[in-house]
Amino acid sequence: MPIIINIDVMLAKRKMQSQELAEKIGITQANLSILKNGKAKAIKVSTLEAICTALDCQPGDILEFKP
Amino acid sequence: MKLIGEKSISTILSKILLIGCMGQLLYLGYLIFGFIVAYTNLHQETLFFSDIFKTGNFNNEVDSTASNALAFQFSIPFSEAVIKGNFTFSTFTSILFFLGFYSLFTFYLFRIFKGMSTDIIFNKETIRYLRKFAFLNIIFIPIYSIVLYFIDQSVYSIDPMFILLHLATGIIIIFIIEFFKKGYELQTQTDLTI
Repeated sequence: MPIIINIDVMLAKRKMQSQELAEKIGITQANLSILKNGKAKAIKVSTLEAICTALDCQPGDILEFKP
Repeated sequence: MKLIGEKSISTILSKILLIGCMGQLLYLGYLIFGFIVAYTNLHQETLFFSDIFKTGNFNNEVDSTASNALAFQFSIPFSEAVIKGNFTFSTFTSILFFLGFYSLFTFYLFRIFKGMSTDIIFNKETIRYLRKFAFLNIIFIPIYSIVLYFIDQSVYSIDPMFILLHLATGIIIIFIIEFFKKGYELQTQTDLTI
């Protein structure tokens, strides 16, 4: 998929663990893993909003389009 | 009571079908065993279970279709009932075919209803067994025709309604498979929406 999800990069920048992020945004670690690995079929706006709030970033910092 | 999902009518039906399938397999196994024992007793002149699995001419006790045909009479354990028929290869073949077919038919139905008894109805397992069930219903038609033709040496004993019933079931199931495939696809998409 040409859409890359850069959660790992943002997690490293914010020095945050995956488990902590999963707890903050209220999803399971398994689902966060699906998201990070690019296996997710879709992402809810509410999830994106929660990630941006937790990581203090913009959606563009997490999502990247690589054709 | 709900139709599908856990603790539903599907759950009850799956259990009934499992009992039905096991009963048919037991009955089939018993008949095969009976035929083997009766055949051995007849040709080897032995008397294994001869009071249970009888062969001979029962003087109109058995409705024989062929004149002077050798008949069999198998007692069903724990009951007064007996299974009667002509002791011929075609009788054995038809018992094997019909009981074998309906055992498999009941088993696939059991698996389908078991799949519908779970919380995730659209699953690969149900689709797999629906496909097998459809295939079984369609493949039944030529096999049934061939078996019946070889048993009776005539096409007149082939029941067209019976064929139509299984063909219709098979075709309907093929359409249901497509609905299930679509449901599975949507289910996967929903599960992968984070």
